Amino acid sequence: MRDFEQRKAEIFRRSERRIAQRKRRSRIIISCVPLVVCIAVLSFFKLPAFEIQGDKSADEKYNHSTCGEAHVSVRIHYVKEGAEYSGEIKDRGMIEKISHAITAAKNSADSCIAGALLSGNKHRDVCIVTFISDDGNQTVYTISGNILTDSENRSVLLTDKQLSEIVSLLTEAR
Amino acid sequence: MDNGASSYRRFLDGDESAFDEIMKAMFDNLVFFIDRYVHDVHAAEDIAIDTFSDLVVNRHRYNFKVTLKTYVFMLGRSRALNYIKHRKKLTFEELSEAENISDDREILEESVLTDELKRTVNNALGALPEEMHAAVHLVYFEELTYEEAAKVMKKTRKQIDNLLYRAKKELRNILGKDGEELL
Repeated sequence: MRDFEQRKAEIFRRSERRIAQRKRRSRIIISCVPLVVCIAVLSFFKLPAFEIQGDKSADEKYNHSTCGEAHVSVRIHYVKEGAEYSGEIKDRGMIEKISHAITAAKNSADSCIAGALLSGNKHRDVCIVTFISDDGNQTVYTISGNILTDSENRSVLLTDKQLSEIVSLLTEAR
Repeated sequence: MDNGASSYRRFLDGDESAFDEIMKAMFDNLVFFIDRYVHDVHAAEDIAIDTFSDLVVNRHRYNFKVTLKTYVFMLGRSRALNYIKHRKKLTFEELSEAENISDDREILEESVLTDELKRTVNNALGALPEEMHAAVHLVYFEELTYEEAAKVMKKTRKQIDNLLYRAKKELRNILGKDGEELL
């Protein structure tokens, strides 16, 4: 057992040590605060960018899946000057080429047009392209003249080059 | 007597000697009380030193709403229970060390238990369960009120009442007729 003075000395020695530890801990916490603030600010500015990127990639993924890999066949119904042609493509390579051409045309931003403008636009030549996925889902695209319309009724105006590319692919497949 | 609160206030105002007063009034008693939990007088002394260092480090944690003695014993009990919780393995002492411990305990008992009656009760207390033990210690040796003892032991006044009632009954059985006079 310690005597009175030894006990007292020990109490104050331990107290000093604990106070020093506490100061060190609070200094660490204080130095972490600016770091946390920086991270918060950075994430505030960076996150929307990530979100946009995320949205884009999700969109791309969506497009890819609606027009490409997941599809096992493509049905084509072609009406030209009153005559009708139908066919089905099973070749994966060809399916991918067609879906790629349609997706590229659909995503070309400068060719978007409002549905209202299309209402009066009537063409005799119509091509209906139906992508069928392995679970039976169908994605339908209609090409009427230079206008490509998807199953959600969103329409885009195709350039002559895009149209000829798609048509040549469909003709080749047929 | 405010059981050390005024001394502690003086210590907070910068009077170092006030801390000596608190230590003289409570340190041995606290060691004796903690020893009842840890059954090791040296560990009890160590825990008591930590408890007193709490008074120095956390100067503004004591709110003066309970007596300082109650507060110190609360801290001491809590630290003792923590010590028991974290004592991972049994330690085996050499016989000479064990003899030292029992000598130290006797010295401590002599300094805390000033009269023969208290010593007689203390000897009988060993047969009681820990909780009763502590309740009797706080009320009869430290002369805390039932409410203060309840605060220290984190129990209700009624529970302390029950513990003491049963403890008295047990002690009467152990001490016989002498016990009835003491209690």
